[in-house]
Amino acid sequence: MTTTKIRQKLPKEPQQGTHAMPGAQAMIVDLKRNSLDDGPGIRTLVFFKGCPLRCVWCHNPETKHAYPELAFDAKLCISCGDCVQACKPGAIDLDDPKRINRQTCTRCMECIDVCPSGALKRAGRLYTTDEVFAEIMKDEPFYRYSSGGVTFSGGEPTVYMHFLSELSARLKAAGVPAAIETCGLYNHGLFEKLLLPYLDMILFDIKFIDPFMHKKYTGSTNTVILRNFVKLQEKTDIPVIPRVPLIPGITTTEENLVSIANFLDRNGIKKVELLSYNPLWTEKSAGLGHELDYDRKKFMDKGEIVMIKQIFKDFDTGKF
Amino acid sequence: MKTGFEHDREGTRRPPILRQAQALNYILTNKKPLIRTNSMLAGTTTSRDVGVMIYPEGHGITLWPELKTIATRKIQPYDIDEHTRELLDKKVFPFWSDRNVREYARAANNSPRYQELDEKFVLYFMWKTVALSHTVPDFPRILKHGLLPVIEDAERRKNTVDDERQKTFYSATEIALRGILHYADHLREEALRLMAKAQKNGPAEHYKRFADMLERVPASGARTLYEAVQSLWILWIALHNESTNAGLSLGHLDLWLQPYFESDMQGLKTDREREDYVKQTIELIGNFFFKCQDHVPLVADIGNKLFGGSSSDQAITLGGVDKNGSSAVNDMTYIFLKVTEMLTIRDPNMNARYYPGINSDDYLRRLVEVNMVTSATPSIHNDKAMIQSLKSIQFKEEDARQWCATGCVEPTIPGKHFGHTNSMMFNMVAALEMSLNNGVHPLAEEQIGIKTGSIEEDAFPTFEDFFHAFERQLRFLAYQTIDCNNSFGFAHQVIRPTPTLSSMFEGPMEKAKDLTEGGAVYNTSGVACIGLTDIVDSLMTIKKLVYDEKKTDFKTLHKAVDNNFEDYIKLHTLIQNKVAKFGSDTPEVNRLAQRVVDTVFDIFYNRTNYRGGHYLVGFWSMSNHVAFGTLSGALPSGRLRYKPFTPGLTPENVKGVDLLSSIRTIAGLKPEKMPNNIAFNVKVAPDSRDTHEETVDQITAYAKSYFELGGMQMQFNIVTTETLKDAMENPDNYRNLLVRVSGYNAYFVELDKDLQLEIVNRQQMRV
Ligand code: SF4
Ligand code: SF4
Repeated sequence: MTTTKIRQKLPKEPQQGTHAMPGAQAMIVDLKRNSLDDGPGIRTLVFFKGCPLRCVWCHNPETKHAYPELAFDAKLCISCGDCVQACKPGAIDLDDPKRINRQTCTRCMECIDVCPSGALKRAGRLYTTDEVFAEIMKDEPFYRYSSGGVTFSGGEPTVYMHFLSELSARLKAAGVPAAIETCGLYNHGLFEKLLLPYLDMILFDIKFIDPFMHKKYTGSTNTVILRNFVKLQEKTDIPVIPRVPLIPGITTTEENLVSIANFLDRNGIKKVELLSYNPLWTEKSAGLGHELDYDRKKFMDKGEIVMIKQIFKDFDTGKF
Repeated sequence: MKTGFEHDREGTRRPPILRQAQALNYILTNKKPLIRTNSMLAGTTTSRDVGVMIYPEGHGITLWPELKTIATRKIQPYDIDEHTRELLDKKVFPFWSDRNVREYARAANNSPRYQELDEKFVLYFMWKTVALSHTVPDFPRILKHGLLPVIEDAERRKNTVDDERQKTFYSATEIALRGILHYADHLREEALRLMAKAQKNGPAEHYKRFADMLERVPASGARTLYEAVQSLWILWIALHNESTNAGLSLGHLDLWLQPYFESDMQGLKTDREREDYVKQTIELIGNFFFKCQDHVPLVADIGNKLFGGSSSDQAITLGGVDKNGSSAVNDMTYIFLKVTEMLTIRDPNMNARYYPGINSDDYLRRLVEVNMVTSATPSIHNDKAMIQSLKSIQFKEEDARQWCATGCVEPTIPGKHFGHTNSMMFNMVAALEMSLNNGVHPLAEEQIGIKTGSIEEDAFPTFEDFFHAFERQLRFLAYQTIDCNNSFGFAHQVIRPTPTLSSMFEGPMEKAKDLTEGGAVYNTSGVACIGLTDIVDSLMTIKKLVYDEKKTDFKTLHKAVDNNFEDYIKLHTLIQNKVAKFGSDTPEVNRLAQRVVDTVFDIFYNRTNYRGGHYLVGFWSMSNHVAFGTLSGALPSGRLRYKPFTPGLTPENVKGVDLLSSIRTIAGLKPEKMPNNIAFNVKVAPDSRDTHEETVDQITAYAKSYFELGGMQMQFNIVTTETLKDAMENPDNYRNLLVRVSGYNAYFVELDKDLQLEIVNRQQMRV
């Protein structure tokens, strides 16, 4: 059985819309090109940094906080010690397995510049819409010829609602389809007004139906989330595809999956994406100095998969 | 066996072209006519079903020291009987030992330095020591009218000119072509003989068909597709008996054969008949493909390293546009593609032209699909970019539109353009190494280049100073190869004129001038420049770390390079991680790459070859990126000593270089500076969860985008790394596994180990 350690922490930042003025910038970790898994065709993924939830299994730990972080990848480090020299506050200790004392570190990022290996990296910087738009447009023919486009991911992209609105309006004008991956915790009014007109697809996370479970594992209840999901069904014709992250021992209990299936069924939904558990994220989390809340190291086994397939047998589950 | 024909009966020395014509006539007249029951085409290239062509006046002699081991060597062994071995050892090779291109040129120029450098193998490889035949003849004319009108034309011209030299040229044409007719006639007699022996209804019919066809072709014009292909095959045999089977190419065969296909079709009444006819045509073309493999190029052991697994590279071109600019894709295109898909063989080397906006999407998708099924072929070209490139260097538009791939990927205008498109493989990296070492090549350990300044003596205050030194070494080396190529070219005029090939071109007959003398309309020479990625990445390292950011000094970097980065791990890591690489589509790197391309283009273009034409550069490498790599030291790019360079102009498989950015980078280079074409390899590993249709769609999207962005050529290796690794361990299970090396196809399991590893490590994109 997996050992699961739970630590409760309420999200301190960011608040809805606070980072989102028209023409404002957004904190972005990375753009990933040539993605073939997050929506149709060839896509560029934009990873926004910052999220109102704190899922214990978070797969993209570098996107939790809306501020730049210092990431350390021990596998790349060649122990040259240059970073120690460069760090004025003395936050780096080569003998410490964690390497960085996060209490002392001021995130001045001086060490990144001297690090020859890329073991020390900056996670997140501010982008303007111009910059992101230009980056995305470099691959425009690929989207056009593969029916692909852009997928806003994160983190929670809606944290930057105004930024996204401006960016996706420009993309729409340029003929580039845009999809969003969302945890569902946003202000529906703003979403409908600022984003919905420019989107072509919504990939909507459904983690739990039981609000207490949701609160326990993500730090927030799901009342707003589920309500937003139902509202989208009424308000739009574009595909809204529910996605269920399969986290063994947490979301994959029979009780939870059956209630998700029933919820979708009640809303007349026949298609669901099931996201298989990937244990490789745990190293990433450690590299950011985040404490691990859940550390199952194995992929899912056959038995688990069979059980899940059975529960969703009446749904189109694509390539699961 | 050739004995020279140097003198006539009176003992007068024959002019070279006459000697060659007599020799060819003799060979073809005395050649054993072979017809197989199970083959749809009569005739064989050698006197056996499958044989190795030995051209003693070319590079045949390189086999001399290996005669004893040739049957047992690991890569591409040749069976040889004792009689042949004796004959070669005692008679043939001794006679030809100073009558070949290399030795003739050496003697004629008093052992020149450029030839000495050539023989170091480190700097360049000169194909003229082997062949001059990288071109495409005007087959449509001969197929349509036959050889008789050409012979008559030669006779008529001979009688109207006074000049002895001109008379000789026309006599030679006539003699050579009559040899072909003799051979065809002997095949016809053989068919009749076999017919008489065979049972009625069965094989007898088969042989009668040959006898009937050979009565007509290649002397006269073909009336049916079958006659056209048989005629083509005999011409092909003749050309390969005249000159080395290295890169001579077949041309735009779908376009050229379509009229025969259509006229055959018109005679058919029912759907059933038409369906059967299409099936027979597929079988006929399949037979032709197999026939093209009945001769193997002669490769000495060193050659297996240099040109690992290469066949004779008989390129066939499909699709694109015709000379009026309309789509040339037709029924025969799809028949050729079907055969390519069914056979998955390395030779003929299939090249498909795609003109965005004129050729259909379905056609491109079909090319990708065949490429996927065969895992490596055809290579796909952007017609628009190539035609623009050729136009920009003064090819007429109508001519440029007729371009055909030659050898690997290089363009030739059939029947007009004698462009020896692979005259040399040029190692640009050697020039870089010499600019780092004041003209000394670190592995050759001698002063080869000119003195351009020493890093240790602070000769390069700015990056521009260093670039200038590199440019001077590049020019120095290029001029050596040009001199060398020209001297071999002059040797060809004396040793190997080509009367048969000349008769199939526009120009020689009108000017009474052999192709080797510059008889063709276009007379360029083609160069393959090797190591662009390694050069750009190295220059970028120097610029960024030494000059812009001053993270190291030049002396330290130089020491690190000299020490193969041992004890310089930090610097090596820094280079790998903090210097933008070619293929990352970074503006500064792109500009530098274009600058290198422009520089090498100008150096070559501004020189004239021995036939009065320009030198045209291209960026592809056959397998020489591996061979030259194993002869080179470490580089500022971080590439370690002896490691292969990257193939063609394919970016290195490193951090920051993803498939889309490398596609954009390559597409951004200017085609007009790369007229001898490029080889851009993309290895794609399909996701097992995707359907065949989905994978084809995705790869088609890559190809289409690349071409829209202006890319010239791309070739996919569609196979997983796991498959390749498994093939290295269990070669017997993968005998037919085809891979694109750089511009040509090879069977993976026949490749040299270094080359196999290079392919396994190539950038892999998951689809
Ligand atoms: S500078 Fe980078 S490579 Fe060197 S010790 Fe620090 S983290 Fe490791
Ligand atoms: S970010 Fe600044 S304070 Fe933090 S470890 Fe690096 S150099 Fe030290």
